[in-house]
Amino acid sequence: MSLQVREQTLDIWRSLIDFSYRDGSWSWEDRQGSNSISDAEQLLCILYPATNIPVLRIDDPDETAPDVLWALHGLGNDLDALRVFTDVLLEYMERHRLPDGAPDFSAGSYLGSCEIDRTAITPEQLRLEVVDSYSMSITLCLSVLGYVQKLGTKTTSRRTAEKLGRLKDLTSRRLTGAMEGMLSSFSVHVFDIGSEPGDNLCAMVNQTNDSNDRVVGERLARSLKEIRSSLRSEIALTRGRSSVVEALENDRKLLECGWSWGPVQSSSLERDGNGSSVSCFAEDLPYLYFTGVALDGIEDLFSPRTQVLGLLDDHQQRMSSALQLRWRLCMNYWQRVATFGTGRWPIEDLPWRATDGVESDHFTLLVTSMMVQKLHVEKAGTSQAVRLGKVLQELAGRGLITRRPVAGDSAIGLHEPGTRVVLRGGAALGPELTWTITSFSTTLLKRTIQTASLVREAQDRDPLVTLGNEIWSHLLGRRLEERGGRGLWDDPRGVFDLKGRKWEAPSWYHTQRACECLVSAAASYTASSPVSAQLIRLANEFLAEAEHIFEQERLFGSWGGASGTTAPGTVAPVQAISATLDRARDLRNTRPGTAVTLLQGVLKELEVLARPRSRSLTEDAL
Amino acid sequence: MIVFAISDKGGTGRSVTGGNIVYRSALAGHDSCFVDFDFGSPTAGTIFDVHALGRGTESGRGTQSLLLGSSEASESLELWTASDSLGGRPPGAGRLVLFPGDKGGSEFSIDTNTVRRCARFLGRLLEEYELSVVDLSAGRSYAVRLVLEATADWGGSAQTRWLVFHRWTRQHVVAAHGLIHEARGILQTAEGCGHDRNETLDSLRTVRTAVMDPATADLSGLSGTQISWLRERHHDLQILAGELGLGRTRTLGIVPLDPILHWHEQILTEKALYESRIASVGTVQAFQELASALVDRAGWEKL
Ligand SMILES: Nc1ncnc2c1ncn2[C@@H]1O[C@H](COP(=O)(O)OP(=O)(O)OP(=O)(O)O)[C@@H](O)[C@H]1O
Ligand SMILES: [Mg+2]
Repeated sequence: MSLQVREQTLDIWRSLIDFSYRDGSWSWEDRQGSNSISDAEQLLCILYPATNIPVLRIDDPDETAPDVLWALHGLGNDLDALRVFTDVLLEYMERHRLPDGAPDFSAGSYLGSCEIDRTAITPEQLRLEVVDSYSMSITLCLSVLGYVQKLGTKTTSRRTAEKLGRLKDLTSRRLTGAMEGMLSSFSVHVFDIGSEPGDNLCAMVNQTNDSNDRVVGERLARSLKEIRSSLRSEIALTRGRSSVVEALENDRKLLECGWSWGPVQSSSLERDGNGSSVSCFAEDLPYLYFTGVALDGIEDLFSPRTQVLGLLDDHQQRMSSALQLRWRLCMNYWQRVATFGTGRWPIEDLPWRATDGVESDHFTLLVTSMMVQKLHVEKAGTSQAVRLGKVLQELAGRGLITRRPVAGDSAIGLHEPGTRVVLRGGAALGPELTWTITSFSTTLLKRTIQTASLVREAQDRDPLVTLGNEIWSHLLGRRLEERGGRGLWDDPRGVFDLKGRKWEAPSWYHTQRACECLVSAAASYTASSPVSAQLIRLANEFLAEAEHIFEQERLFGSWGGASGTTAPGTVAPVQAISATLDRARDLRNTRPGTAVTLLQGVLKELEVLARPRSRSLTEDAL
Repeated sequence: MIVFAISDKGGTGRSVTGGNIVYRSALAGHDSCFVDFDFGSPTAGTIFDVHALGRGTESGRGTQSLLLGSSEASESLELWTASDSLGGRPPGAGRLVLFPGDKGGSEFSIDTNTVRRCARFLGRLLEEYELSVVDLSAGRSYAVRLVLEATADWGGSAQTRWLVFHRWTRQHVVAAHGLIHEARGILQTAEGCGHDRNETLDSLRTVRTAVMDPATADLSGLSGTQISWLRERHHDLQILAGELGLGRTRTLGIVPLDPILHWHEQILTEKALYESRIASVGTVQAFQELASALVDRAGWEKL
C-alpha cells in the first residue's frame, strides 16, 4: 500500500502545529471546542506515530531525524520544539483534573442530544465520563510515560527534569483513573432465547436455515459455556453485580459482553482512594462501538512496548490483567458469534443486526474490526483473514467508498452525519443523550491494512492492497482545503455531494484516526515483506544454476588459475561474483525477487566466459 | 561569563571555533576577549591575523609571563585595529581583545602564587568583558588544574562555563568522553579542587567541529552505496555519543565541515561572507548560535 507514511505524517504534524500553536501558546480548540477526549486526540496526532513508528521517534534527541525535528519547528527551533511539546503535554494533564486533583474524563462537547437544541444538555451531563475518554487516555498516558522515561535519561536541564517528574506523576495517576473507569464500564447482558434480544441474535446467527432460530440459539448458548463460566468467576469479584452472576449460572440463556458507554449503573467507581466517587449512569448494556474503542485502548496495555519499558506500577499491573482477561473473553465471544455455524458466517450477512434490533453496515464493520484485531494480535489466521477481507471490500462498496452513490443515497449517512447511538441511562440527568460515530472510513482502512498484512499469497492480498489505496485516496479527498485547518481532517464534502458550508476548522477525532491508519501502514511495512513460496523456489533454481556454472568456470581456470583472480577483458573479478552469489544465497528466502535479479546479473557475466567454449564443444561434436 | 575551551585531542578546531565565537560575540555588541592559555603552542595571532604575533608575543608580557609573575600585567591587543583583516570596529560592536601567549612558551607546574595570579586575572576578565574565551591546551594539562583551582571559591557555576570540542569521529567522541568523565578528567579534577561535580557538569557542554552531516552535505560525488554507508555511520555515532553522555542535549553547537577553515585557520568575517563571499553561511550561523547560546540561559539549557 502506498500511503507515504513518513511524508504524510510529518505533513500532518506541520499542519497541526500551524493550526494549534500561535504566539507561544497552545490552542486546544477544534471545530467542536475542546474536551478531555479531543485534546488527547490532538496530542496523539503527534505522539501516537512518534511512539509507534520507530523512525519518527521524538523522545531521544540523538535518534530524532532532522526532518522529524523540522516538522515540529513551529514549536521552536531544534530541541526547543521538544521542550515546548513537553510543556504542552504537562498542560493537558493539569487541565483535565477535577477540583480535588483527580483526573477528569468528561466528554463535554462530544455529547449530542436528541433535542434539536444542544444547549439543553445539562452541566451534570457534560461532566459524564465516557469510554472513549478512558481509551484515549490509556493510549495517551502510555505514550507519555514512555516519552518521559526516555527523555528523562537524555535531558541536561534541571528545569526539564523537574517538569518530566511532574508530568510522570500526573500521567500515571490519569492512567490509573482510566483503567478503573474501563473496568467499571465492562458490561454483560444476559437474556432468554425467547426474549426480543434473543430473537434478534438467533436470527443473526442462523445462516443455514435448516433448523429454526430457537434450535440454533440453544446451540449457541451451549457453545458459550466456557465464556460464560469465565465471565461468572470474573464478575463475581466485582461488587454490585450479583444479579448478573446469577443469570450467568443458567446455561440456557444467551448473553452478550463488551463495554457500555460509561461506568454502568450497578458498578461503583471511586477514584484515587480519596473517597471522591464518580457517578455511574450507563445502562448495563454492551455497545458495539464502545466495545471496539475499549478493545483498542486495552490492546496498548499489554503491547510488547508497555511490557519492555515497564510502564505500569503494581496496582496498574493488576488492573491490566483484569482488563486483558475481559479483552480476551470479549474477543472470543464476538468471534464465536460472528463466525457461528457451518455455512455462511453471520458477519458475512450484511448488515449486522444488534440485539436491540437496529441494523447497520457500521455494526458489521465494528464486529469485523474486532475479529481483525484479534487475528492481528495473535498473528494468525490467513484463511479467516481472506474471508474478512471480502467483508471489508463489500463494506467499502456499500459505504460508497469504492462505489458511486445513487441519488439520495442513504449510505452517505454512514459518513455524514454519521451513525447515532443513544446513551441509555444518560437521560437521568437531563435530555436523552446521543453519541455520533463518524469513523467509518478510517476504521475500514486501518482494518484493511491489518488484514492485508495477514494474508500471505499475493493473489489474495492484492485486492486488499488495492482497497487500501482506494480508501486512502478517499480519505485524502476529505482533507480540509481552507486556510486554518489545511491538510487536516475532515470534510466529507470533498468526496460527497452534500449541502452546506465547507468546514474550515479541523476535527481531532478524524485527524487522529487518520494518523492511526498511517501507523498501521508503517507497522505492515516494517514487518518482513510477505513472500511467495513460488518465487523462493525460483530463486533457489537460479542459485543452483549460477553456482554450478561458477564452479565450472573456476575449474576451467577462466580467471587464470589459483593466483590470478581477474579474467582478461570485461569479465567481473572472481571475488565480485563470489560476493554476489553469497548475497543472493542470504536473500533467497526473505527477498527472493532481489536474489533472482542479482543472480541474473551473475549468469550474464558467466555466459560471457562460457559462450566461446560451448561453440568449440559444438564444433567438436560435428 | 568566562568560557574555558578545551579538547582531548589536538587539532580539533578549538582555537579557530573559539576565535570565531569571540568575534561574533563582539559583533553582536558584547565586549569580548580571547585569552590564549595554550602555553605550548599559542596560535591566536595567526587566527586573528595579527602579523606580529605569528607564534606568540615576544614582548615578555604574554599570559604565561603574567601567571609566572615575571610581568605585572598581560599584554592585550585591541583586535579591531591590530588585526590585518578585521578592518576597524563596526558601529555597535563591542570591544574585541586578545591576550596573547608567549612565544616559545611551554607547560609549567603550578604553585599557590600562580593560582592567586590566575584568579586575579580571571576576576578582572569577568569585570571587564561580557564574554571571555580562554583557550586551554589539548588534553589533561596543568592549565585545566590551574583555572579550576583559581575558580574554586567563586561559588556556583554561574560565571564560568566549559566547552569541550571534539571532531565527529568515533575516536574523538570516545576521547572527549574520557576527558570529561574518566580519571584525571575535568569532573574529577574539579571535584579535587573543591567544585561540585553536578554543578560542573551543568556548566559543561560539547561542541562538535568539522561535522559532515549527510543530511545536509552535498554528496553528489558519492555513489548511492557510499551515501547510504555514511548515513549509517552518522547514525551510529549519534547513538554512541548519546550513550557516552555527549548527545544532543549536552551539545551546545555543531560546526559544519568548512572548506575555508579546512585550508586556512581564520576568522570568517562579515567581509568574507558578504563581499568576497568565500565564507559559508552555515558555518557562520553555527558560530553565531554558539556565541548567543553562551550568554543566554535558555540557549544553554535547551532541554
Ligand atoms: N569547521 C571546520 N571545518 C574544517 N576545518 C576546520 C574547522 N575548524 C577548524 N578547522 C581546521 O582544523 C585545524 C585545527 O584547528 P585549530 O587549530 O583550531 O585546532 P585546535 O584544537 O586549537 O588545535 P591545537 O590543539 O593544535 O591547538 C585547522 O587547520 C583549522 O583550520
Ligand atoms: Mg589551538
